[in-house]
Amino acid sequence: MLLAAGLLLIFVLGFLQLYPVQNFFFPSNYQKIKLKLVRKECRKINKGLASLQTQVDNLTRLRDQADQPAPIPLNRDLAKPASPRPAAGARSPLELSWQSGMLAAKKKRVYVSRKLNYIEMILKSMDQAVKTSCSTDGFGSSTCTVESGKIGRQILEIQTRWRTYNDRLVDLSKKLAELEEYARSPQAKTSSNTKKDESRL
Amino acid sequence: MDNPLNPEKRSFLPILIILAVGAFLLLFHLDHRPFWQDEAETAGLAKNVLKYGVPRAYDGVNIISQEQGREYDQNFLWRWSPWLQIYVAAAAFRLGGLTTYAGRLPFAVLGLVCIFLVYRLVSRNFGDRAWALWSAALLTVSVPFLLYARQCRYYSLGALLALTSIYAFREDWQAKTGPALLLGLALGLLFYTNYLLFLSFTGAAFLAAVLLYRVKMPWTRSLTLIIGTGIIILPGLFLFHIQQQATMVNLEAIFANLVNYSGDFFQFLLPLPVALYLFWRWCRILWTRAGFPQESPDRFIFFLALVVIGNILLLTPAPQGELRYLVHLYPLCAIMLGWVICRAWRYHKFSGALLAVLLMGTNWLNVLPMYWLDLLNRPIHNEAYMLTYPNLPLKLYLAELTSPYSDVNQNLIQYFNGHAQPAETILVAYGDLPLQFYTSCRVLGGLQGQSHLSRPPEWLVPRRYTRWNRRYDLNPSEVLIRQLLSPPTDYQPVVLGGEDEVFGNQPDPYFHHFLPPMESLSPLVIYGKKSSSRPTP
Repeated sequence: MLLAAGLLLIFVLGFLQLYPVQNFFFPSNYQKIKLKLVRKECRKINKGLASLQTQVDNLTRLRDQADQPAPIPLNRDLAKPASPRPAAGARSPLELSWQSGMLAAKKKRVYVSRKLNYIEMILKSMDQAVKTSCSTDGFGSSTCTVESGKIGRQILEIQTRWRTYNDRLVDLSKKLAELEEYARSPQAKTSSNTKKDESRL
Repeated sequence: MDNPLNPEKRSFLPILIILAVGAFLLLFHLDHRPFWQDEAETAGLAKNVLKYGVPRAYDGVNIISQEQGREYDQNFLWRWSPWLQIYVAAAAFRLGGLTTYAGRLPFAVLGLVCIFLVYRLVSRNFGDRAWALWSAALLTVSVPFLLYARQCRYYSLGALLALTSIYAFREDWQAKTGPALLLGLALGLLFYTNYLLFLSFTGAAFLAAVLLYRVKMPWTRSLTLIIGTGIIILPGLFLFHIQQQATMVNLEAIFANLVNYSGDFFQFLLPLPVALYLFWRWCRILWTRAGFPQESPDRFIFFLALVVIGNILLLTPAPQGELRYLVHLYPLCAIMLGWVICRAWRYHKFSGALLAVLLMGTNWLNVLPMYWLDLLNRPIHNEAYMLTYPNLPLKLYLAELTSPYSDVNQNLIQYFNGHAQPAETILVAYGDLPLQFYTSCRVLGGLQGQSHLSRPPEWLVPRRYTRWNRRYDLNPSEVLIRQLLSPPTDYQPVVLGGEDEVFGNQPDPYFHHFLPPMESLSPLVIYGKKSSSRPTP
């Protein structure tokens, strides 16, 4: 009996969640589900941006380290190698962390950018749908149902958040591009070569 | 005249009806939409096989590539993915002409053979016709399986070969040559279908067999079989760039892939409540009883489950965790689900009937429990009429077949066939391969890598969904299109009807639209060179 009851519950709830049925009984439910998904995505974007910020900070620190001349203790005997001699063409640990850090940052940027792209289109489409269901007077008008008005306000609020996220992404992307540009510049190469030479001492 | 109610004939009737329904679902309007990018890759290479005898990536006009030219050698010989699917499609093109229907037909037919083999495997080994019929029926109405089987790709071929190997394993391969040859050949061909499937399936099946059917695996015979299969796959190890792709194995992605595959598995293959029931049952058997009897259905179902779990675990280090790599597990899951329905029916008829209705007609058992547990993977761009929402999948599927809509590739193909001259060049951000197959233009861009242009192309197709390469840089085609369009002085926009969808006829439930998108997110816009800036012939 328990099995039958469980299956019946799934059957009834599944039927009620079919889009045409749901739309008939609870017209704004689908929009609410969509908004819930958008909010979930916003949380992911926020986390993604925070992690991108950390990655960019780490890369900046690495660049600053590379720019500074490596301190060599005065009492060090230069005739003896401090560490095993790296193989020809081998990359220094600094270079390796730079490259893996850069790849991780770019991956995160793509992740956030994709999500923002989708959300922008979906919010635009939802906004239009709500606006057509309301009069041109705005969300406070009598022709606009309370539910639609509420959803409309939530869309506006998320759109504001979207703009903040987008600005942050643009800013971090610029910083990332600068760092990438630096890695390609002759100055970075010289600095990296100096480091390599130093590690070969 | 034969008596129509002859019991022997009657016994075949249900499976004949299931196969007839399967044939309709798999073959009806097989060309309702054009090939999408991945299908067009197989079709394009198959087209070149007809011309050169081998899959060449370059036909003198266009280059087939989705990995920035890493798939072929200096002679343009395709060395990325195995060739079996390409030759199957080439044979179909030879017989049926270069059409969408011909390209998809052999794979759809193989899907139908899968349905029959599921029936045959269960009825022959366990003599339970009800279980055999339910399993076949479940596979027949499994919409994701149907979508994948109707593709000009390896999916149904992989499913059939995996199933054949299990079928052969259940025969007397220890003593008879036929089943042993069949087993070795099925596994060897599975490698030439897709080596990721081969590695994951064979590894998992071998371990599960050692664990559960050790007594039926004589050492000498097993070793001969392993060596025989090894000999079959040996040339392929050198021919395809497995080493190059192995460098893409990403250990950091293992956990993310495991989560993705598990989610996909419960959402689209075997519902979570059914998996929990099986788990509970096996725990009870293993800890409170003396284990599984050697030839019991319980042991076989447990074996299939181990194959599925092992397969998923072995797939996790691969770079992309997508449902396509689980398609060969659909027949195994259908057998497991068929068995559960029979158990439920024998336990409580009403529950059995209700379970059958839920599993065959809806996706509610897959979606709702996952939603309640907040485990459901529902991408933001999905809509109500997609399989990530509670739906009647077969109804959606039939709606798509009976009234197909013109997808993004169809709209582009139609436009360029009507407006572009054969010698003209199209630079496209994504979707280059369908255009190469269906139009006579030179098509550049997509994921090919650097495009070498002697003059600006006549047509530009920017796509709404930006594509990045594996280094997370913008694709060169994307960059070039943006450069040419800033400002778009030499080009004028043309708004085509329909939506700029991500893929087109992609079978992945996260992207497959059965009906035209409910909300227009982005119209399809292309750019044509202004007549004043075109060179005069």
